[in-house]
Amino acid sequence: MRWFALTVAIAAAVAAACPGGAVAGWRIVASGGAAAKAKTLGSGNRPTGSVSGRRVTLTWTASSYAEGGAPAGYVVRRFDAASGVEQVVGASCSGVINALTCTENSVAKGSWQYTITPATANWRGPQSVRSLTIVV
Amino acid sequence: MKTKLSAPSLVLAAAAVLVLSGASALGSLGAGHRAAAREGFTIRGHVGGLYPGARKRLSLVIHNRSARVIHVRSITTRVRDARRGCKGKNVRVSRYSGRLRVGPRGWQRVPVQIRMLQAAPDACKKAVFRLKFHGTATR
Repeated sequence: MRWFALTVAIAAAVAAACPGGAVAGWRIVASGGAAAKAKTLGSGNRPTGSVSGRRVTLTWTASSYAEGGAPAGYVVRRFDAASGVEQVVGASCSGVINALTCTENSVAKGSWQYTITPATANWRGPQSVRSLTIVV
Repeated sequence: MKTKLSAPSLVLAAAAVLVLSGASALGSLGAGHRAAAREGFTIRGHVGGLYPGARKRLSLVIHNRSARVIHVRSITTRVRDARRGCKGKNVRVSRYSGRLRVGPRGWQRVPVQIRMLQAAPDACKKAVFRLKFHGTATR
């Protein structure tokens, strides 16, 4: 009978030490799901341009995210009106422009078309349709 | 007094220890699952309007499904990859840590901050990131 008592005592001790029941008793774990949605960057608006000598001044209207709000800036691109080949834009209109206008200086003689692309950091929206041809 | 046990007795004793402790552990596990189902809580929360550099408030809704008061101690969020080229690491969610009391079968809101990194790639436009919450609470 002694060994049986010993067995029961050990089993009781092991059962008491088992953490499963104790943890479930006071610590509750939950999980759940949801979603976070990113914005949609709208397309650029067609720019208009004016020429003064070899300076071309472009203006355009603001773009927006589909959910509201404006992009951080715009990328200006220039194309040869005849061949469609993209050109290197002058310094004052290169990079991301944080305005709705820019003036490109010392533009080479020729016929050019410009586009506007909304930009926020690495994001780029759809490019606008090309401007009317600007003759320098 | 010296107690002398025979070998069969020892084997029997050991078997009894294993059976009893195993049953106890299984019982506890079953009770734990039942407790989780009956006494757990859920976490929900949606947010939109993310763009590079954006910081938004994400309001998490905690629902206590149990009939007892709980205290939410922590909530962490895992952000899943949205699509190829747009990893979940581009979105960060702050951790909640505290002691939020939620009444029996009650609701509470917990605000955490969610932000999209400035370096988020173009592939993250229009992306939908699935959020997986993990929370702990005490009674």
